[in-house]
Amino acid sequence: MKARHRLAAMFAVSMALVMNHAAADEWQAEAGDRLQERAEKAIDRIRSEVERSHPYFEDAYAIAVWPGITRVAAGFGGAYGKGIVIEQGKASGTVKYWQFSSGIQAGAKNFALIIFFKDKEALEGLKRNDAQFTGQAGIDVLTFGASGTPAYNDGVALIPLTNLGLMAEFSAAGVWFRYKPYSE
Amino acid sequence: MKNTSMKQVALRAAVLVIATLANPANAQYEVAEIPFFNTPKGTAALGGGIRLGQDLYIATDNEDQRQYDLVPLYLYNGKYAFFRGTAGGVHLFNTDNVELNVMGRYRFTKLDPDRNAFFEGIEERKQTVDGGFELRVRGGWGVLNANYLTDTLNRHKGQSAEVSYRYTFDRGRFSFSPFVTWAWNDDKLTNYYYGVSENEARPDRSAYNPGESQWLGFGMNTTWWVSERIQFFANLGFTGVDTVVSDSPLVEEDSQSAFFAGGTYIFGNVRRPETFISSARAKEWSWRVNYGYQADGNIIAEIDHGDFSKSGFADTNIGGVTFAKLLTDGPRVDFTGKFAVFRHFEEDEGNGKFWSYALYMMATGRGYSPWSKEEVFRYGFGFGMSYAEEVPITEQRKQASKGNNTSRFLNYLELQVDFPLRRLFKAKSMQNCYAGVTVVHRSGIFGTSDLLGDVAGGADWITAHLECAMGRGS
Repeated sequence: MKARHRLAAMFAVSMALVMNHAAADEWQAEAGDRLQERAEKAIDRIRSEVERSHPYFEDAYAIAVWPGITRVAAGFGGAYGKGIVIEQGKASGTVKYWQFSSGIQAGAKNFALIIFFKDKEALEGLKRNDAQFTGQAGIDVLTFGASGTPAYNDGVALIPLTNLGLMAEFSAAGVWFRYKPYSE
Repeated sequence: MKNTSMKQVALRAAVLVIATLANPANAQYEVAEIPFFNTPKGTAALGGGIRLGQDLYIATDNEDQRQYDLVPLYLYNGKYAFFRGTAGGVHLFNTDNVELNVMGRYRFTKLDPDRNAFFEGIEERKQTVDGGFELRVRGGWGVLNANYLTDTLNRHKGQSAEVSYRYTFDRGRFSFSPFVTWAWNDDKLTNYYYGVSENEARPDRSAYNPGESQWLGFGMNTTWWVSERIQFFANLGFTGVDTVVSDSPLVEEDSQSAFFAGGTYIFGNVRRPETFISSARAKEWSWRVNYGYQADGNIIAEIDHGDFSKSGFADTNIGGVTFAKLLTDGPRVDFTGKFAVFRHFEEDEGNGKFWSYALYMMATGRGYSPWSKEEVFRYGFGFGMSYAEEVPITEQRKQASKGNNTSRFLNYLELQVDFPLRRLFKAKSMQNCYAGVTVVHRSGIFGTSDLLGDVAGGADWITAHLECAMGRGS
């Protein structure tokens, strides 16, 4: 009897893990959807070039992917990009990223960004279009980028990857998300 | 100054607390009343308003008696202390229905001899801080407020008393609060602002001694709660002037009006006070020490963009101690009430050593390690008020170069970035400590605020700090 319970518990845990790491693994871009196709390429590139992203790809409940965010700054800065949200293996909507920043910063760059959401609750903040405050430090030269982008709360992880740019930055920023589900 | 004891520092800090809050026009105090005194204990708010007033003194044809003024609002309803936008003080006795307070408020009435040619030869009448006692009684029938105040800065050297009654009609997000008020000013106070001495008299301006005066006013304050935390207000009041004042050779009006409109942001939720602060952090407070140098750039768009150069106006230093109490914690930002005491070291520039005090609210955000509660850094922005015993030498020189006013009382801004020391040290005493940079800033609001002496510009200091949080729960 005990053994049966243990087996059932192990099965439940295994199923939970299988269910959970389905955030992006099973997802494929819809043919002809340019944004999704670019997002898929960005995911592949970050997965192959940023090793520390692997555990988050494994365990994230959902991810938001922006294949190209453009940031321009000279003291004050602004950024904009459009991406998609992939929740439990399905693309659930598009999400716009607006940022205003202030700090020691100059230059311009285009970069891909993935936000990994630990659980459903963490994702809800983005879906509610909550404003977030964050900071960023980094340097970008052409396609090389080294940066630190701390999480804005304990349920997210942010991994950026430079596409192209020439920029140095140490700044604080306000970020506004605008989520639009595909069902609308 | 050098021998100033901590007791004197504390006393002066108390005077600052009492002295800092503004009021529009004589006998129009109720107009500036922000409906904030019924909020739960611990509520704080920041805001601002534009005051349109009219004074009584003689004006030339091309001189507009209507005056507008930007009034920053710092509001706090604490267990022991309060700031109500127009007054500040300490509760001696405080229940739901009765408050007995030691309070002070700024008296804005003034007369500048340079105002127009008619006032040539008149001695300047200055603004002052009136301090005294206030009794506030409230019930379902309304609010009755009485106060007895005396001049604390030895300007008019007189006393005043005031009784007012207001009733508030609540209509959901809107409230309407009509009021009537009666005020009495003794002969010293009335003579100071509206009398003409023998020395000032001339053929078209005879000597005049009005004696004591009475003022009767009425009006309406309105409030609109846009959201749980944001309110807008618009207040209007009229005051009838005692004939002993309107008969003064200096005066040409027999009534005055005042309009005050603006908005406030409440930290915490007045309608749901239980959401103020999580129980684990309810007792959290912190101390901070900082020391640094006078900066050349401005806090906004210069220092925050990397200009850390030393001031070209003066080579001075500043050191300070700050105490802070967490007011609300949130998923994105914490709001903290802070009181800072700074020592200014300006003896090498001929301005001696002196103290300044800052009372302000700080919003603090955090960056975390991915998927964890582990802080990587904190950043904060503070807004409040600052009072300096002497005007810092940089402010004196900057203002003199532009031919502008200086003021001991100014707006206060602060930027802070720091890192948790627990990432470097394992010692238990370091687990809630942070080290980083604080930028300290004093200024007027572009010369638009009478409360801030119509000062345009200010001074900045870049400091290194160590801050430790105490009473933090698990």
